[in-house]
Amino acid sequence: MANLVYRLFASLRIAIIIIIIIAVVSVLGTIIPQNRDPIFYKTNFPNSWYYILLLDFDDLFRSNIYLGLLLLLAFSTIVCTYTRTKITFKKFYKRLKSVSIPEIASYRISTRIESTKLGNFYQLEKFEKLETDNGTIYLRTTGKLSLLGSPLIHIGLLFILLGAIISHYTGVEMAITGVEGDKVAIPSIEAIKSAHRADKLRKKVLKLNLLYPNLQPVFIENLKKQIQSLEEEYNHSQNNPKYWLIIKKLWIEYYDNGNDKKSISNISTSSHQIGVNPYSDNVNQSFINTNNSVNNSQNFNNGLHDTESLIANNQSYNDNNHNDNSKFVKNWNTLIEILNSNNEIIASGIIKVNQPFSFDNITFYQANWQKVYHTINLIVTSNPISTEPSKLVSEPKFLTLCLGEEVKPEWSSLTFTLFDFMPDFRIVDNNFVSISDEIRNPAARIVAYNQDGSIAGRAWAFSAKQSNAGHIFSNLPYNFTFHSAQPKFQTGLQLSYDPYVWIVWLGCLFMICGLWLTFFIAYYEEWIVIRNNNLSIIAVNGNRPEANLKSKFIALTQELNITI
Amino acid sequence: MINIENALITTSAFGYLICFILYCFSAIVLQNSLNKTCRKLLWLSVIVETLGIAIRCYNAGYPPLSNMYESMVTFSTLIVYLTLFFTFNNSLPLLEAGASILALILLGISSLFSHEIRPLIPALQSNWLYMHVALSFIGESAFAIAFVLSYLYCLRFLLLDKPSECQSIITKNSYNKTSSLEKFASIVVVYILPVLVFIGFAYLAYNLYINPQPESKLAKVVFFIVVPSGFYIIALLVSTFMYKNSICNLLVNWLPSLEILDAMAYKAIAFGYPVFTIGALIFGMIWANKAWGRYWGWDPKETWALITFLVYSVYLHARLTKGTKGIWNAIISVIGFLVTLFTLFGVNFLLSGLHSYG
Repeated sequence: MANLVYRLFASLRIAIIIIIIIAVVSVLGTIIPQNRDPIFYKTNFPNSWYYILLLDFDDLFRSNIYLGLLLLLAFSTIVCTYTRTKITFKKFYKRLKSVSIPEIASYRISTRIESTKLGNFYQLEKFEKLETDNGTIYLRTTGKLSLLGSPLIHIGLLFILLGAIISHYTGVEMAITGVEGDKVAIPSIEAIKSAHRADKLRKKVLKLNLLYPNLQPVFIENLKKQIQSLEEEYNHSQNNPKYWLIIKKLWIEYYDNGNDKKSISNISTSSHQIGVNPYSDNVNQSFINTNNSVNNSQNFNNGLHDTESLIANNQSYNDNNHNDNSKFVKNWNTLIEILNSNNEIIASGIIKVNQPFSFDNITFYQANWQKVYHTINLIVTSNPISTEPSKLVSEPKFLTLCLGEEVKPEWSSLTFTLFDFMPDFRIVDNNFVSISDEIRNPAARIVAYNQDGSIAGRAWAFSAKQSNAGHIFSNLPYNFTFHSAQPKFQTGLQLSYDPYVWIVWLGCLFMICGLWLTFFIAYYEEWIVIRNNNLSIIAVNGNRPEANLKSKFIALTQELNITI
Repeated sequence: MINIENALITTSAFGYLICFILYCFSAIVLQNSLNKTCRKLLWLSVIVETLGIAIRCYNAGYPPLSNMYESMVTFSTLIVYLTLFFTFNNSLPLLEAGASILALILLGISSLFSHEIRPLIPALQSNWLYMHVALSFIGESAFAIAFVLSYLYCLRFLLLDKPSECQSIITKNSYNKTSSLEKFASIVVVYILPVLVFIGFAYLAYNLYINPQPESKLAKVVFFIVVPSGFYIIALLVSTFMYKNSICNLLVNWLPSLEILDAMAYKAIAFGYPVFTIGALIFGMIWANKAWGRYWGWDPKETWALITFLVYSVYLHARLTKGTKGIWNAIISVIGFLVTLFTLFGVNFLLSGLHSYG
């Protein structure tokens, strides 16, 4: 049985079939959106969602099927490499002993010639000699190292696969976001892993609920307990972190007529209520991002981030505002400090795109950058169509709201909260989204509460242009119009811990060497066989195309001073 | 300066168009001297294009690899240069004609994107950009050459397959014994593939007609893409159906044997495969690790680059397998280039990811 399996995997055809299957399955992974909520698949793939979730094709590249295929490829590579390496080493060290005269005679680039015509070829250098019963074989090889190329490529591939598997189990990634002055707890690696596991289990619960609506509640409850336990582990580490990361300063460098120019960076320094006491207010800003790290980084690369200038104290929006396109971002910079548990600075550095910062085997990358608006200013007028018209003494009133904070103005009995603010509002697939972080079509969602805490109503605030066009939505006694907002830079850092990544790089090194040796180093075998029947053979063999072998053959005949 | 750059690149596009027509004409009239003139014109066109690129480099301050426009122009230049070096000792007019039409279509596609020179965005400010993107394009250019050779292989395989119609020229050869599956596969490559490509371009033109974009002018699409590819396809289909015997004679006169075509395609892939693997995959991994904190993220572009690598791995392994005939190698090579094209364009237009700038 073992022999059968060995022979099966030693077959090149099986290797080809596995590669084709991996290629086809990989195509599926780019067609099916990855790492979305299970309900997304049910909504968008009404006919195939069940199979997508069942086969874990929502996270195809980490699914058992894909990992299984990679394992098969690895196994096939090991067996093939082992089998062929034996042949290669035989060829490398004992080429003369492993060859026979009929084999040499069968080479396509060969000829037969009377031995007397060969002259004094014995004087030629570097020919090895082997006496056999049928004659004497002479061999000269060039580019022998090329023989090692193929094994090196395959060993490199195996190292890369091995490194990837080890990274999968030992490495972690985590996204950190924060504005200037934020103090972010860096939990232990184990805690981050726990959070990743909790995320996976949470997704599994959602998936199981969809796939098996009649599943025993005990099973789900067990999973939920596991999630809770993992979350506790993470939260404990968050509250007692080994390190703190302080986002000390954020600034943008711009291109300016070919010269670098540093911008005035901190748009949050003036007239801001948020972040005044940064070391205590915004401690728990970090969030774990198990599957969306790629999406988080997208803003950087797909052009959503406009390269428009951002000048301090000039961010107030008005309807005639045009963005300044004359400047282009050269770099987004984040100055960070690492504090230990005693609040002592133990490291600091600047992180830029393509210039990460490493500390204690953890590397921080500049992965995202955007503007956020925590505070907005609104113009309030009475709502004539309200069932309970307002009693504003003079209009308009001005109201400043901060995200998530309750504000009770003097002129109203209600308390207002800014629920959400979208600077570039659109409705996409029935969802309210902001398509950029520039104030182009601002929309704020406001919730008002009665004195007893009950919800009094909701309202939207749009720009004056939109409001004048009749886009007013309010079931409160007031209408709201957006006036201005103070932006802050928000940096997105990617934390990465991958202690065994060197295995992957070693694999890459092997592959590069192997590819170079295989495809760019020519290997030639030049054969001269003096047979006992006075008819000699001259042949050339190697890993080059026939035309090259022919050239080599002609060169050999010229060296031998014979005419064919 | 931008006007000079545009003028030079447009001139080279005209040069490629004339080259293609003249190459076809020289093949029909069997004129060797005309063929030599074509080759000179092709050299001239690519040098003019290189001048345009050099001016752009001078103006921008970085190599032309930062967006789709620059990438396409560079890609077209690399294809022509590689073809000319590839056929340096042994001219192969139909390969050179194929390279001219590919370069022209790529220039046509490039004209749909913004020509504006912008400073490098932060994500692209790395020396790895040049090593990663430049090597990827060199590898892909070699795949393009292999594609043209494999296409010619299928053409010859299909047309010289019928001894009754080409009695004067057919000698005893192995491809008389072809299976129907092989015949079908070669028909797909020779006839259906160009038609599908043409339909694709026509659809693109129609879309641009309905939703005009500032940079995507219909005239450009029609002039640079629809006309040349349409001309090529119509010429191919009409001549193949009407002048089968003549075409057979031409093929024998202008195309080397199947074995040589197969060996040449292999040579191109044997050059492109390591360059692409090192440039696109390994250097890409190193850069991704430096910029994003992970060397592999299953981004669509990464995944499709891997698929390209896998397809050409199949090609190389299939050649080692005993019994695999040349036609299947040619078909894998054609599929490989289609996958390469999807990695270049399809991923950017149809799938979102981290590589949306090019």
